Amino acid sequence: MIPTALAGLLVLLLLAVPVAAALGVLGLGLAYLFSPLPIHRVIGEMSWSANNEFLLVAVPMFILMGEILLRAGVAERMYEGLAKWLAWLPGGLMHSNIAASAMFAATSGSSVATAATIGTVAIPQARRFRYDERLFLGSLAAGGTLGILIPPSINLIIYAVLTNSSVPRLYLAGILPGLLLALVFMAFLLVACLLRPERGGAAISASWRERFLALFGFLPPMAIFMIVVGSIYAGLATPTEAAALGVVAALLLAAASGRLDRRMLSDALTGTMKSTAMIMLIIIAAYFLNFVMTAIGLTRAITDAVTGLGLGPTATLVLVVAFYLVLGCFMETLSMLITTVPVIAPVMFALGYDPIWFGIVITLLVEAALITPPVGLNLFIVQHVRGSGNMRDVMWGALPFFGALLLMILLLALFPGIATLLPGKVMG
Amino acid sequence: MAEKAKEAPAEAGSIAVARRLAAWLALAGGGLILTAVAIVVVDVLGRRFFAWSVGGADEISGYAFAAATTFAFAHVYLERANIRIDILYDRFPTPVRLLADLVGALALLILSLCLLRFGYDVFAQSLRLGSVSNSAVAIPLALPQAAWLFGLAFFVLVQTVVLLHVVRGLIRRDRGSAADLLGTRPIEAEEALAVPGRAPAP
Repeated sequence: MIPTALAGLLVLLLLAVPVAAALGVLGLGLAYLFSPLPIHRVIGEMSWSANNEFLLVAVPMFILMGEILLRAGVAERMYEGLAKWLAWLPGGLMHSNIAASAMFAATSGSSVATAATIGTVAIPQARRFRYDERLFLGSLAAGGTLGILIPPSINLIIYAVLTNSSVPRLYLAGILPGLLLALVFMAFLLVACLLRPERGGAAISASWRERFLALFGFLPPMAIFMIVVGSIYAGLATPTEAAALGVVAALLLAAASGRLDRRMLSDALTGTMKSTAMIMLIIIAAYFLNFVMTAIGLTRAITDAVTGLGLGPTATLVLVVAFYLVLGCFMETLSMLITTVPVIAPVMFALGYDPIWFGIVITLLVEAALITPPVGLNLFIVQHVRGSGNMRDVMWGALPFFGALLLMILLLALFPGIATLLPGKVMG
Repeated sequence: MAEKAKEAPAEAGSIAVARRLAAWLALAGGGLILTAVAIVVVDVLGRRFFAWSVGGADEISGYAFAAATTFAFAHVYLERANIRIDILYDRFPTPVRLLADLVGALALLILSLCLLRFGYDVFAQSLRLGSVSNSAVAIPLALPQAAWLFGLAFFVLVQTVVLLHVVRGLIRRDRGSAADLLGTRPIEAEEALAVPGRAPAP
C-alpha cells in the first residue's frame, strides 16, 4: 500500500499534473484499490465542509489585506524611517531591508507579499548607493520570508487547520523566533560587510531630529499590527475576525494615502481570488486524500513504519528537516505544506514533539524553501521586482541567509523555549 | 471549405468569451469576500460596543467563501495558475510535454467532475430534507450550496470547452493551441503581481 501510494504520487507530480489534481486522483485511485466501500462519494460532503470552514475564511481575507497594503504605499515612509535608524551600520540599507521586512511581516500573512512590498521600495536604492547587488537582493528575498513567521501568518493558519492546533498559540510562538531570525540575518550582514566593507555601499547618516520624526512612518504598520494581532489577544476577535478587521484597516490606510480607487480594488480582489481558489483546490483535494488514507489505514501504516525504524526523536527530526530541505527545492511551499503535514505531523507528535513548536520548525523550513533554487518563490519575486539582470544574482545573494535559517532551526531544536515560552506564559 | 477556415477564429472566440466570463465571475467572488469582511466586521464591532450580534456571521461568511472559491476556479484554470511541479517537465521534449499537459488536464477534469457529481448529492440532500443552518438566521443550506455548485459546473464547462478546442487543434496538427491553453507558465509571469511603481530599469 505504501509503495503504491508513493509511486502514484511521484509519477503524477513529476508528470507536472497540477498538484490539486494529483492529490485528488491519487485519493480516488487509492479508494478504488484498497477500500471495499464506495468511500470516494464523501468527496462532495468533504469539499463542502472544508470550503465553508470559518477558520479558512481568514485565508482570503489575509491575502486581500496583503494585496491592498502592497498597493497602498504604506511601506515607503516606514522604509525611509528605518533607514534613518539603521543605515549607519556597516551594511547600511541592507539592515533596513531586514527590519522593514520584519515590521511589514507584522501586518502581512504572506512571505511573497512581504518580499514584493519591501522589494519595490528598496531595490531602486541598491544602485543609487552602490551596494553589492547580490547581497542586497538576497537580504530582500530572505527578509521577505519573515512574513509567514511573524504573525499574522497564512501558513500557520493552514498548519493549524491541518493539525487541529490553536492559531493564537501558533502566532505567539512565532514572535520570538521571528525577531531572533531578523537579528541573525542582520548579524550575518554585519559580518559580511565587516569582512569586505565595499559590500556595504556608501555611508548614510541621519540626525537624531530626523530619526524621531521618522517614527511617524511606523504608525500605520503598528496600527495594523495592533488591530489584527492585538484584537486576538485582547479576546475581541477570532483569527478570522481579526483578518476582516485588518482588511478594513488596510482599506482605510489606502484611502488615506489617496490610492484607493475602483481599478485598484478590482485588481486586488481578482488577485485575491486567484490565489485563494488555487490554494483551496489543493486543500480540498488534500482533505479528501487524507480521508481516504485514514480510511484505508495508510496514515497509520506510515506512522508505524517510521516509528518502527526505531530512529528516536532526534534522528527522526534530522531526517524530517533534510526531507523538507530537499523537497523545498522543487515544490511550491503551500502545496508542500498541505501535502506533507497531515502525514508527517502525527509521526512527530507520536515521538513527543510539541505541535506548536513543530509548527514553527515547519514554518522555518518553508522559509528556507522560499529562497532555495530552482523553485524558490521569493527569489522569483525579487527578480521580478528588479526587472533586469540575471536571476542567478538573487540566488547567490540569498545563500548566506539560507545558512542563517539552518542556524535558526538548530537553535530552535536546542532551545525549544524560543517558540514555546510566549504561548506558555500568555495562555498557560 | 469556406466554413472550415472560419471555424478557428470562432473557437478562439469561445475561449475569449470563457475568459471574460471567468474573470468576471472571479471578481464577483472577490465581491463575496468583501461582503463577508463587512458582515464579520459589523458583527465584531456590534458585539463589542453595542452588545448586539449579526447572528451567524461566521456561517454566512463561510458560505460566501465557499461560493467565492468555486467562482474563481475557472479563472485560475484559464490563467494557468494551478501549481504544477515543472522540474522534469521543463526538460521534456515537446511531444512528451504535450502528453503531460493532456494527462494533467484530464486528471483535473476527473477531480472536478467528481466534485460536481458528489457535490450535487450534498445539494440534493439539503433540498430534500429542507436542511437549514444551525444559527438563528436558519439559512436553507441548498441556497449557498447551489451557488457553490454553480461555480463547479462553470469550472467543468470551461475545461470541456478548452479541451474540445485543444483536441480539434491536435486533429489539425496544431500543437500551439494546446501549449497556449494547457502548458505551464514561466513562474515569473505567474507571479506578475501588479507592483505599482516597480523599480525602473536603468
